[in-house]
Amino acid sequence: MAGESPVDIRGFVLEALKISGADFREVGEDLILAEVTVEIPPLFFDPPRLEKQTLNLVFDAEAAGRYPGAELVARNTPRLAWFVDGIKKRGRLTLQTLVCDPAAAGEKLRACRPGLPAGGPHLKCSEIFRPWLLVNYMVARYADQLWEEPVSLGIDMSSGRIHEGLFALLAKASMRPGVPAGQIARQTIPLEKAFALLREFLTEKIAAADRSWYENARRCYEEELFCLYRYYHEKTGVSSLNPEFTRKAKELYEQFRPRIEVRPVNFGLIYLPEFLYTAKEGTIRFCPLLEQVEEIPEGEPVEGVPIEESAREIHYISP
Amino acid sequence: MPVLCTDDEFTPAIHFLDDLALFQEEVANNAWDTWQAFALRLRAEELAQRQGGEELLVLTELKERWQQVGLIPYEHQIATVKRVINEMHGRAILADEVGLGKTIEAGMIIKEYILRGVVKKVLILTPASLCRQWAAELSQKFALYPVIARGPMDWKRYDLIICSLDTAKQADNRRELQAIPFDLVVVDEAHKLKNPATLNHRLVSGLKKRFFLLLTATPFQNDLKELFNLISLLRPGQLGNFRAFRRRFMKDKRETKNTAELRSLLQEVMIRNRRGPRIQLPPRRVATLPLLPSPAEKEFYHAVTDFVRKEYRRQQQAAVNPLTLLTLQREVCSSSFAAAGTLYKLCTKSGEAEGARIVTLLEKASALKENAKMNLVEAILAQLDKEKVLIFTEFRATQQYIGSRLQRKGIPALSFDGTMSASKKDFTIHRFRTDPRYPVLICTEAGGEGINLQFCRTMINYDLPWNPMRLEQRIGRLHRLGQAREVYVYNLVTTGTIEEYLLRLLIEKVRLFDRVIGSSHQIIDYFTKTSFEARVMEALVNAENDGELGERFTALGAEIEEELRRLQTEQPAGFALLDELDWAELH
Repeated sequence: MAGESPVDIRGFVLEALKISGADFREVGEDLILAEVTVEIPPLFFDPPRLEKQTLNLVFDAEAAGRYPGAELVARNTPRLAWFVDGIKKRGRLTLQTLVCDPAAAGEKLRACRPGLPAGGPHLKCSEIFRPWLLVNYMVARYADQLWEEPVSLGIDMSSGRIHEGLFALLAKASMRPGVPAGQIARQTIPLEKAFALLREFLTEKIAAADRSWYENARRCYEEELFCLYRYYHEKTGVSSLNPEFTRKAKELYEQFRPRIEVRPVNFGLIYLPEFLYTAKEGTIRFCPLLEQVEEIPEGEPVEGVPIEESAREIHYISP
Repeated sequence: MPVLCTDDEFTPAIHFLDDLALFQEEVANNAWDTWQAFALRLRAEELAQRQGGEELLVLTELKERWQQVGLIPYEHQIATVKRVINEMHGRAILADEVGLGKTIEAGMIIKEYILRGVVKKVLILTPASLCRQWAAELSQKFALYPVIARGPMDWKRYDLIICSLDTAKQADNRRELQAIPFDLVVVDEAHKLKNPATLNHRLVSGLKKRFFLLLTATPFQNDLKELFNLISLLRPGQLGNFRAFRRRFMKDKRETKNTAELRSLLQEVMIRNRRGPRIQLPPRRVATLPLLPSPAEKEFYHAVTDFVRKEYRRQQQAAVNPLTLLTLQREVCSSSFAAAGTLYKLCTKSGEAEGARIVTLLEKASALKENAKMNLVEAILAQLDKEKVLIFTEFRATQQYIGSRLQRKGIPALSFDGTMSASKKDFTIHRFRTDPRYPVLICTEAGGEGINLQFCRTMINYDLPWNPMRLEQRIGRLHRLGQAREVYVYNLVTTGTIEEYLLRLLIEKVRLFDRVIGSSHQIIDYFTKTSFEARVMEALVNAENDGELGERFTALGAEIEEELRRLQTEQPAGFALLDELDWAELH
């Protein structure tokens, strides 16, 4: 599976140690020594308590040979599961603003629209922040086996537009916690509607996805059911009325019945800066992260804080 | 094949688990976290992401634990687990030969399904005597912690339940159990379900289950109908109905026809791994150590044998039950202490005339303070250094004597017998395995049943059971899958006693130590159905002297040899069918 090489898992563990505030030391490229706090559950009359433990962690079997006593952290190992479980208690919600330098945004715009002259000729440039709801989901497809797949969706709370690659783009960008101090576009999509739109989008996406998993399950189910039907038909001649047949058929259906569960992993409220460039010819709106350029029809009010007037350094209100 | 379900039935329903109210509550509580934690949470979910498919999660998940407990998953076991999950959709009969690790395979399948997230509620039905062993295997080797269910309170409360078939089939329990939807049901010793008229069969057939494993080394013994019933319990219709099955596949109740077709049908639902070039145990090294009894011991042995012989010949007029005589004869071969116990009991029950004779024997027994066999045991132990050693005896009195002699010698030993509680047994085995201060475990036959001691490779048979199957079971405690080293078996034989003749017969005629008896239905059948002990006793009591005893044993040996040869050449086609259902052929 992608992202599960020893280097990837080492990266994950390092991040987890940093986030949890544990003391750790890297010894070469193979070994990490960490002091972590673990929760000891209550036992008889002893209350639960916190205890410090030292971990010697390596990430591939070869390194494990070089450091006797060190613990191997790889996919499906109990130690990785321990880190995963710990991290699953964190990061459920986040409130962030994307950091974007207007000058860099200008460069990006020119890259998107090569026809624009350098440094102008716009008369005015202003900045506005659009609220987005970012939701990471885990989509689980069940039949007689289970396949899980993460899906990340972002929805613009001003327009209802849904973007599938938002998290991937944000992962490479610079974020600051909190709400921006500048002007924020009005949220026109209530949360209920945003949730409904995301559901609708996901339903369509799932419907359009690979069907082989449940078609295979159906084939297996039908084979099994046919075998069962023949048996009871030959045995009793009234198979469809035989309660034993009905019960066993139900059992088979439960075994192969396909179903999908969509579980949200975490939610982010993200403010994305947009720049509005006004020239004689009209106004364009540019989102540097999504690299989207949009022309604003004449007569439509142009919002935003002019860049000249606002401080270049964006202020943030801590959550 | 007609279309048997509608598109609606097989269009997956989508359940959204997002909860707006919960989200709003979290926002209101200001439960904000950093961007790094947010991103890492998704990464954590990706790392824990569950995927069906070929790769077995259990192999990496339990690698470290298996190293600690000394479990090596064999190629045939891994292949079995993959086949059950990926090809047989979790419904199969695991019919490996005895000792090839059916429990390990079932444990791997249970754990794999749990790791894959498709199984949560599991019911394991076993004979009552194996409940604790299953619990120990699952916890030690698979980090699964089942509950041994005793009553209705347990069914719903716990997800991983072990229950004896006898408990489960009680009317109240059966009703409750059949109402619960289980994800996986495992039945050990599933040959107990071969008769559809029994409560066992009706119980299991009525359970609601998505996945279903039946474990048995003997899917049928005497009648092909048993095989039909078992397969039909797992997958009704696989072999058609019984009338069609009989017409198409049965020559008579033990002989098959259209065997190739039947085999192919069985292979779809049954996996049978057999010993062969691909599945081999490390070799056994057997040393027979003859020892000379002390003159007093010799005299005592002959006196008791003489008493047994005379009493046995008196048949109806005998003062002593023939079974007690048989036991006494076996005891005198084991130790004077074991025989003394029975002699004492006889003495208290017998009349005056008999009593005087028994008292004389008892006095001889009491005069024997030491047995020569123990000198040999001490000599063996001295050579073995820190190696763990299992000493087997049939009798508790002998066990106590061995224990006290070793104590005097400064060798701490643990005792294991049938009177101990299950938890004490578990603790003793654990201590023997992990505590280097205890190099010796003295085990009685009854105590040793079903225990697995692959971590130990040396066994001393202090006395010999008169039934070869019991001797094989003793060796099987050590010489089984998971044993990575050569196994050493020391047989102690007092010269001039019946043990000497018996061992010669077992070595030369039954070739007991050359082959693994568990691999042959015929030998198991022969020795379970024939009262071998009675034949040995008969030879002893009818012989006037040692020369004649030797002749009688030679005749008995020839008879056994002939019978085994006949059984092997004339094995019914039904058995051949099973024998060919092996893993090597499947893959």
